[in-house]
Amino acid sequence: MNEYTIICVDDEREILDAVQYDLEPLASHFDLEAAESVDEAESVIDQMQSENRSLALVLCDHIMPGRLGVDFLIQLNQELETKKARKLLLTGQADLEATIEAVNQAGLHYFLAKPWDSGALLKVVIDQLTTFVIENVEEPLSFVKVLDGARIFNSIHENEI
Amino acid sequence: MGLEYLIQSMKTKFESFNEKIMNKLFFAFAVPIVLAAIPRELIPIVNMTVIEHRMLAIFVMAVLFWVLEPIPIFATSVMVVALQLVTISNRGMIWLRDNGNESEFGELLDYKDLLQTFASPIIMLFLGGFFLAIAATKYRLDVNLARVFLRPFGSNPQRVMLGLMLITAVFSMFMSNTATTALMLAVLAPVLKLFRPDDPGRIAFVLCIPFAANIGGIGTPIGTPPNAVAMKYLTGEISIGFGEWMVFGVPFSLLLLFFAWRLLLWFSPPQEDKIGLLIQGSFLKSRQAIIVYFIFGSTILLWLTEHIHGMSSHVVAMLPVTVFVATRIVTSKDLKKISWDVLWLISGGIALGLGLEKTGLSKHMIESVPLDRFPPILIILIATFLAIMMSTFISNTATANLLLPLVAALGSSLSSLEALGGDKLLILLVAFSCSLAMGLPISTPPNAMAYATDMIGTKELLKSGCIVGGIGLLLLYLMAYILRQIGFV
Repeated sequence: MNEYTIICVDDEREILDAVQYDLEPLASHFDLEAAESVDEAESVIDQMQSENRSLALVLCDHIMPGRLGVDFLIQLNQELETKKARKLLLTGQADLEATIEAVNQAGLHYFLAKPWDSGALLKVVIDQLTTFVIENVEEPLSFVKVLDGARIFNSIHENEI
Repeated sequence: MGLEYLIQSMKTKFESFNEKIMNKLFFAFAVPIVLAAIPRELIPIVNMTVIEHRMLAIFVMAVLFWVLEPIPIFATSVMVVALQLVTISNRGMIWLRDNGNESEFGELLDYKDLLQTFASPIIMLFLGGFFLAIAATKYRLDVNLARVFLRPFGSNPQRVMLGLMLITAVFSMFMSNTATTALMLAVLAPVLKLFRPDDPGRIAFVLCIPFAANIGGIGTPIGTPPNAVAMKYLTGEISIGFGEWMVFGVPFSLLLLFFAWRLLLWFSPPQEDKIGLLIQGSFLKSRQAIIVYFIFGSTILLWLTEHIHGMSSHVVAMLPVTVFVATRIVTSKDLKKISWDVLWLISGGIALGLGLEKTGLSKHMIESVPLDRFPPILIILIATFLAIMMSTFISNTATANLLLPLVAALGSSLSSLEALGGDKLLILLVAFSCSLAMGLPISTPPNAMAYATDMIGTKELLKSGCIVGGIGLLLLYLMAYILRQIGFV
């Protein structure tokens, strides 16, 4: 069990499986959780917080039965514990209005369009997680192996005098 | 279910986390407390006073805390000062001040002397170094210098590696070894990705940076904290100036660097015949950047020319501090980047040394061991060997904090050492030895960073690190011989 978690929210099981497969190289340092709806994602986050683990990144679809992805991201952006998490939309159906809302109110960090290229997805996630680690983790050194080592070393250089 | 689960999970987490640390804490506190409780007569140190007895308990506690690390090492330093203030200073607890039997009680330390260790001249010298580093990083002087200096080394991997090592070593003489290693590994990281995974050259390149940083730190008094601790004992007749230190420190560093370079290439020769190390950027030309370049150069120049202008290195260190804050190059926000933990770690060591010396404990401890019977050369060998062994496993600075006060007392009280250079040489050798330990990931922060790249294993680090350290020790003895021959010590 790792201290930091990546959660993927999508109503299609195949998408969740594919994302989990693509992000497998990060599994040694981040827990990969999958949720088929916003409600399920919320209970995963509750459980996680009770175990003192933090959300590092959320990868979310927009149009889902029940609550919408962008609304969920806005909610995460308003809560203290999840505000720091990197927020990504992975969707094919978000219209302009929803996307604008996500950028302006949810603090969206990245927009990925479906279908995606698995190498590109991993690269984007690594980049976002590196930012998360640099901003929030006290001892980022152990993440050098799986994330962007050069950026982590640079941040150590700038902060460690 | 939620709350119950929360409590349960917190409990298990708390217990597993705490069990190990609690055991260490208990042990590290219990031993010195027992030691303080047993009658003085039972401790085999001659003429020990009450104050010395307390100091002994504090010293033993410092050893255990720095070795077991149940709390951060700089916190141990702070604790050492606090305990000394409470138990053996003239403003300590009133019930601990006097038992009415003056001759056996010993002399209390002045509380001002203990508190002044937080702002001793050595700390100010180090602070000056920090200011240079903060400004150089902020105005990208370090990256730009690396870019310019690396250019003449071309694209031949062997030469590029030598260039990287030289730059790393020179930077770490003025910046912290940790910051230098982080900078150079960041520069190197994109290149490492281009190496084929089976190319042994990757290992050589990853190792060359931390080794060069460890070795380069030896070059100046502010290169690494053990040097600063040593400077504290090199006062009065045996004092050494900034430039004087560099006269032997820099050649030693460069020579060992050369050996390390050849050794790494021999163990893991790079297969590629060309590597392109590109650092982007150009020198900033703003007014403030120019001030940074000018002050950086002037400070180093003034440090090297003490014999002309008479200002000691500690006084010169106030130049970058003053100019950089006055010109807003270092703002109040930047001030927060200063590694207070490093400064306090040194302060605690100085306070520990002060206590050991002023109470007379270090002298009595040395006298209680029949060292006269050993040939002085053996004492030098044991002291340097002990330093390198200890600092392989614990912090270099903690090693220096623990060993140097004893070594200083040893050098000044053992007359047979005089023929070999006395306390001056012994202090220098032990301080250098503290920086030569690089066999494990935990030996130094630079080693830990290289290890974090996952491109080297413990085995490779152990093999190269121990051999480089071994060669370093041999070079150190050679240096001692030469310094003795020319009459420096």
